[in-house]
Amino acid sequence: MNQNAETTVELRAGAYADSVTLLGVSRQVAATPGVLAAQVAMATPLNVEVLTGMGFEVPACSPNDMVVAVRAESPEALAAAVTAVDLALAGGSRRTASAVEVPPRTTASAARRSGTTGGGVALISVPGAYAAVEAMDALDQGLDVMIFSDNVPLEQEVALKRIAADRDLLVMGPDCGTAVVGGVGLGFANVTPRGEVGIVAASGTGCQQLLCLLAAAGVGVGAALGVGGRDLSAAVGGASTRQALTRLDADPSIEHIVLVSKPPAAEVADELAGYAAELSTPVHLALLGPGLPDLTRTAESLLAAMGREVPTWPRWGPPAPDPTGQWLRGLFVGGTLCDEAMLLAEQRLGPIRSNIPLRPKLGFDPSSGTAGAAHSMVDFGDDAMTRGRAHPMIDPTLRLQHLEQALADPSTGVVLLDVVLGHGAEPEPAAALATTLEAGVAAARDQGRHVPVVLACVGTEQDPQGLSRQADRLATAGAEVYLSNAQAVARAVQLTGAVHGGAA
Amino acid sequence: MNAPLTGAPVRCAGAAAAWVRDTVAGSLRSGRVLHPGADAVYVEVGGACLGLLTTRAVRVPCGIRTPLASLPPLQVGAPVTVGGGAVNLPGLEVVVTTLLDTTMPMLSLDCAERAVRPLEEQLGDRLDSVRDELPPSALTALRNADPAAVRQLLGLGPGLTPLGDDVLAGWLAAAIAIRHPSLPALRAAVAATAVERTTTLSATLLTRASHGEGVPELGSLFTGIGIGEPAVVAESVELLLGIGGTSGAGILLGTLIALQSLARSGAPA
Repeated sequence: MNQNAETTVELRAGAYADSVTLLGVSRQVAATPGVLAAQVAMATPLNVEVLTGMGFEVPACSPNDMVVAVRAESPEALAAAVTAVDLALAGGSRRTASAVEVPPRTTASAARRSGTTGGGVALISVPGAYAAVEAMDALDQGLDVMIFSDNVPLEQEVALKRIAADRDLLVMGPDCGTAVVGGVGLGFANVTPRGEVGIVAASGTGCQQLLCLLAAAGVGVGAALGVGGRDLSAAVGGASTRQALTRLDADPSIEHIVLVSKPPAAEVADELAGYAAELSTPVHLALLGPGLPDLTRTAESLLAAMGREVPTWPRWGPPAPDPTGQWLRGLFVGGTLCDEAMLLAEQRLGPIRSNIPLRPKLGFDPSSGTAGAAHSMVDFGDDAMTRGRAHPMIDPTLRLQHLEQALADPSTGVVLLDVVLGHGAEPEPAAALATTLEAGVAAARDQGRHVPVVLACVGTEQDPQGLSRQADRLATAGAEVYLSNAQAVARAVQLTGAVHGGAA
Repeated sequence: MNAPLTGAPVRCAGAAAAWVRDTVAGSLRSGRVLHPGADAVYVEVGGACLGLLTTRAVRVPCGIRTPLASLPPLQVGAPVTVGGGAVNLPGLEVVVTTLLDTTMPMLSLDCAERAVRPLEEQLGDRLDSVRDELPPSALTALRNADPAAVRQLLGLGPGLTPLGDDVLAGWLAAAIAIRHPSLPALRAAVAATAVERTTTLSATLLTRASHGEGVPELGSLFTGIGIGEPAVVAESVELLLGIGGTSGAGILLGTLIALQSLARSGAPA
């Protein structure tokens, strides 16, 4: 030991620092020029033993004291080292062993921590019974809200939208599956180019169909604001739709607006048509209903209005043979795609039974079996089907079970399906679907039956799943695949009609 | 919610384990501030350490969790009164209104044995740095559930909860969960020496670990092991590794050693 060394041993009661801070201080100070040894630790007996072994004389102390022990070559070096200890401890003392970064525990605190209060959007995805509380919390922070949750009580939706409108805020949803805000896709969203079209959608998969058709035509979307499937009902009265239309009208980058909805309440549709007509940006209405244009026709009209060429919508797979069974079975993950299919098919095939029927008397419960001797279409994304389970775009199990049943049923004529790609959806939807299709179609063939499968694959090449990759896989499994749901429906109706002796 | 720097004291509700509630209940007693920090203030009352925790603090089982984002600046030795269900500090009163379960889930032997290999694989070499800070002979003794490990580990390490204590706390909590046959001997060794050989906070945490209590991240790990859910285990391990400088890693090391000794020796009697 250096006989000329200067030594200090200080006790500091109640000092508060974690192991890493103290080790860091010790090493930092020990590396200071002129310092021969340094140790900073709580004065537990074991630590005092260590210090004693280093040649320090530690006075009587308690384990709750911090001991600072430094040996240096000179008084100046010792003073500098103690100062360095003080500085290092001051730097480490405000964040200690207790400083784990915990996630925010409320929507409001998350907004405050992210600095988004008074601007921005909160995405709420909690069980529907609790969504309104979180949404209100976000509105109170001055945020727009996207409510991904379904099963939100109607009266809560009405109340939230009334409050939001009073504050010039937007409530997207409930059950808002898709939105594009500031170029960022939220929920189930396809990867499409940015452009001059704005979409207001009371329909998630309807919005995605438009996004993908426009992308296939080389047209981008600047914003897609979902408003929830009930927004154009009489009860809600289009509250968020008006708010969203106003927002897009004020956006100078948006030159065309499309309003897409499942079949709306007639009086709400009329009122919104009047409101849209007063805006400075042209609004193209894509309100599904009997005799009204389908989504593909709307996209084509929009392209024409923009002076853009309407492409040949892509399709994959060879034409399927005529069916041996009689009834069209539609199994959908997209509610709007199901609605569109029923509207189109009913014109040619007559009544379609469904869990989301066009008219109440056509309703049936898919969980109790098939629709029997009737054409049917099931929306597996309907609230009643997703209670307690993930949306079928995420978890395909239930639809695959029904698909197996439909393919095994000799009365099934044509199976009509949709597959929706994009962020948030299954990573490889074609994989499980193709396996089920191949097995079911082969089993039918062994029984001397033909069950054509027609499928709408809604996506873009830029989607994580890749449109062509998924479509090719499904076509290899024997399906006729279309980008346009309306074209898929038309083909399915044509095939079904062949059995019905041209009655279709 | 922030505690104001001046003006009237903040009065807020807190959540704590039943024994903390019992300690805080009853007639007024005096204590003192032991370790004042920005995220947690530890006070000593009747030989035990209680923590007043902000939302950022590690949720130690001797803590009272408050909704506060920060605590008022306090001096070491500042007076504290405890009683009537509340803790009173200069500028702050916390009333315990909610009970927390800080105990760890019990584990079946099958689950515990099955968990060892995946846990080792997930941790890889991430505990090596804490192992390097500890005497190999101490870890060997702990692997053999030898009470001599307590003497070598208790109070070893520079921090407020020395690393050796964290390892012992992890071992004790896991030993209770799996009903380790050597638990009584090590528990007794800790009880006999903790108060003298380590900080009051750490001694309190070791006492709580001896009763099967720990931080919720450890409880989550045991839950994941118990239900055989690798994702829960993986997430809990990451959360634990994020606790303190080395505290979480020390707790994990102790837990792993307890589980390994079980897997090695077969089911304890």
